[in-house]
Parts: sequence; structure tokens; C-alpha cells
Amino acid sequence: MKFAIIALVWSFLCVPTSALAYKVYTTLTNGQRAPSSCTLDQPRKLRWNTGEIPYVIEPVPTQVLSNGVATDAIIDSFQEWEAYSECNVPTLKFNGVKQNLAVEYNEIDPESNENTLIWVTSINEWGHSPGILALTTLTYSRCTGIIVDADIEVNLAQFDFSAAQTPPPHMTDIQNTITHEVGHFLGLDHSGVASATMFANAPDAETQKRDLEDDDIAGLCCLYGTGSPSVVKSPEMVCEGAPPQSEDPVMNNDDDSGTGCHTSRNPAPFSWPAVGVTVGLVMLWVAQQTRKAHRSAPKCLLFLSKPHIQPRDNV
Amino acid sequence: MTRFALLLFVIVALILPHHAAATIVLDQSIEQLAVTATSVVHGTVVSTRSRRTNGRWTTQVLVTVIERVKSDPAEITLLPTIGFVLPGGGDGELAQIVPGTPRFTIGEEVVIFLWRGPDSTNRLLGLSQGTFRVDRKGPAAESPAIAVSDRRQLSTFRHKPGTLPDSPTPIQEGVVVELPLTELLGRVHTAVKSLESK
Repeated sequence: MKFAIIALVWSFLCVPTSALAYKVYTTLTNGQRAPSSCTLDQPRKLRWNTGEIPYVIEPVPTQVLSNGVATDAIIDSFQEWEAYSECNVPTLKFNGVKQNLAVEYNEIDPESNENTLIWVTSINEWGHSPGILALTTLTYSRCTGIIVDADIEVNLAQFDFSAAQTPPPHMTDIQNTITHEVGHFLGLDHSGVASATMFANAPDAETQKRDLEDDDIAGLCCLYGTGSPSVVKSPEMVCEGAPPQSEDPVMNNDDDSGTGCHTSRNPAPFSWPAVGVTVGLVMLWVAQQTRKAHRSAPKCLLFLSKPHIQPRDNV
Repeated sequence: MTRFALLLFVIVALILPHHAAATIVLDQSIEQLAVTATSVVHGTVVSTRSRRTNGRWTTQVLVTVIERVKSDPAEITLLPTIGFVLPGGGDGELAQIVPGTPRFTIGEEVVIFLWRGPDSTNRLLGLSQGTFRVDRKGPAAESPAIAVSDRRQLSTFRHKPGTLPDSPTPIQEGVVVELPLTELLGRVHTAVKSLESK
């Protein structure tokens, strides 16, 4: 019984809250299947296939946020994602502040497209239902999964944002929000790790998402590949199936999450939940065997099993 | 006793979080959704069609109405079908995705919370938050229909209690909300009646 209790406690300790980690979007997300003309029959991860992703932002409405401070906060949000040299993440290049940007993709003139960050200050201009704080629209090839355009919209009509270092308690931190959205911009879905930037929930005034966690970096490395296996920080960061940047990102069909990326739920070297469950089961088995042995073994065995003490030679 | 511990251990392993979790929405309860929605419809999806306008894809969904749980006062004639627009869609090689947007398949039974915008277009309130699919495949023939709202692709945003005294208190109901269809419809009816009586 003692063993059983220890096994249970061990299992609790070894199964981390981060059992569910990063996910990435694929060509199957939201059911957009490849057209029949597509020669690639496997689903693909959604990711950029370029060394540099330029982006522009609309001037921050000054009645809402201080322009200079907010622009810096947004640039910081983008830069946070390219600060990790272990991943081959494309350079996110700030191409300045521009007026009258739109969420759109021009297929006829692809060079004219811009990746944008747009502020919506009137509910009449907000093309979505109320209650949505921010969203990202990704345009991609249904065949290859390559992202060709990404636009972020922020709802200033209904929500109060702050660019202050410490936001007031009833306001939303703009850097926190945009850092999360840039993760989607790059192709990351939500993570189950509560401390991660890509975690799905946020209270007022949260700033935790300004800085990436290991899980976010692992997701990034999964999408864009790592420079060298030697730079991997922890076992959770190992991304089996992560393609080198030069290769096509083929989805790993063994992954039951349908994301095409392994996560810390089943990383290559070992998984803490798996270790926890295995150790727990082994301890339970040992407990059962010990009890059986106690029941069936004659009591004198205990005496006989004591080590025989040999007289020591005097030197 | 060991068997009990083993059983407990297996249960613990099974109930440990299995939801994985880019759109950020305000966390709202069913009652709040019902109050904010301009119409709430229980119906069956009859068509979905993607189209592109000005470089932006949208998907038009048409639903035949089983019950209008909340009627839009702007609708003078209540038609047997109602349409709404979703962001994203695709045609040819390209597609657009707005994470958190549910997709619909023809023939599925749904309860949808719609919001009519200034352009008179119906949109899903809170995207996946305002979408419940009806599951009638219970283990027994007499199993009640279950309404399921899958919000795993949504980020939810919560006001800290007490920070905005004038705003309703959001109630987080989980990333996959499941409740009997009758309870969902009942809660919407009650919220709508409560609103009308004010």
C-alpha cells in the first residue's frame, strides 16, 4: 500500500502542467484541403518560406496610445520572435509606419502585398463581431502550406490598450497582445503551457507574454528548423520531424495532434509524462509483487536472507 | 487496496489535461452571448460557399431554421433560412485562415449566436464562442442531444474581477463547452426573457 501511495505521488510530480505544448497550423486547419491540381498529397505545416518577412504598421491612434511608445512596443513584439538564434526564423523587418493599410491579398500582383498591423478605432469599421480583441489573418498556399501574407487587426474600438511598462490594471498590454499575435503570424497555434506566449488565455494587464518561453521557441524551431542540434536547450525543445529550412515542411502523420510537429508531449529523447506514468506503473507492480512475496514466503526466509557476517581479518 | 490505487492512478492519468490549446476574444458566458447577439438560431447547415472580395476571403453559410431562439428585431419577415458570413475561406490554390473561426459542414445541426453589423451582415458572435454543434449520437437511443462549443483555437481574455465594475463578469466555461441542448436553449430563452423584461 505504501508503494502504491508513493507511486501515485510520483505520478503527480512527474506529469507536468506543460503536458500539452505548442502546436502549429497545417493545411488541414479549418478544413481547407488542397485543390485537386495540387501534386503534393500530404498536408503541410503553414510557415513562411523566405529569409525576410517585411511588415508595416498603421500610425497608432494618438488618442488611444502614445504613438512613439506604442510603435516601439510593437517592434519589440516582432523582434522578440527573431531573438532566438537556435531557430532559423526569418528576419522580421519593420518597413515603417504607413497610412490606410488593409487586410487583403492581391493574387494578381503578389509583390504589392504588405504584411500589416491595423488599428480599428470604430466598431463600424470593425469587420468582425464585437468582443474580439485582436486577430490574425493568414493567406497561404493550400498546396504547399507556404504563408504568403499575414495581417493583424487590433480592436481599439472596444478595448483599452496600454503601451506603458506597467499597464494599469483595467487595460490590455499592447506588447503582450502583439507578441502573441506574431506567433500566429509565424504559423504557431496555441500552446497548452500556461507560461507560454502562445497560451490561449490572458487576464487584464498581463505582461508575461512579452517574453517567449522555451515552449514557444520549441514551436518556432519546429516550424523553421534549428541551426544545429548542439544548440538545443532542453529535451522539450527537440523537435523531431522539424525540417531543415531548405526542405519542404512535410507533416508528420504519426503525430495524433494533426499538427505535424512533435511537442513536449512526445519529444524524441524522452517525455516527462511518459516517464511519470511508467515509473508509477512499475512501482505499483513492485508493490503488488512485494505483497505477494510477503504472503507466500515462509517467515524464516527473512532470517535466512540476512547477510552472513564474515569475521574480518586483522591486518 | 492496490487495485483501488491502480484504478485511481489510471483515472488521474486520464483526466490530466488533454486539451491543447488566434483570435483573442472576450470571455463570455452563454447568457452574455445571448444578450449581445442580435439573433440566436437553432438550425441545420444547408450550404457553405467561399468567395473573395477585395483580396479578402469570406465564407457564406446558410442555415435552415428549426427554431429562432432570439429574433432579430431588424428582420421584418422571418425567413425559413438565415445566412451569416465567416472570415476566411479559399478557392484555387490560395486560402485564408483566421484562427478561431469554426468551419461548418452541410447537414450538421447547430445553435449559432449571430450579430448583425452596421453593414447588415450577420456574423458569428465571438466566432467559435458563438457556435454550438448538436451531437445526437449518445450511447443510448434516448440519450439527450448535447450542444458542443469547441473553443480551442480561441484565446480568451478576461477582465480582472473588480477592475471594470460596469461590465458584466465573464464566466469562463472551458475550452470545449458541452451541455444538453435543452439546457443551452433554456438558458438562452431565460436570458432573452430577462432582457425583454428590463
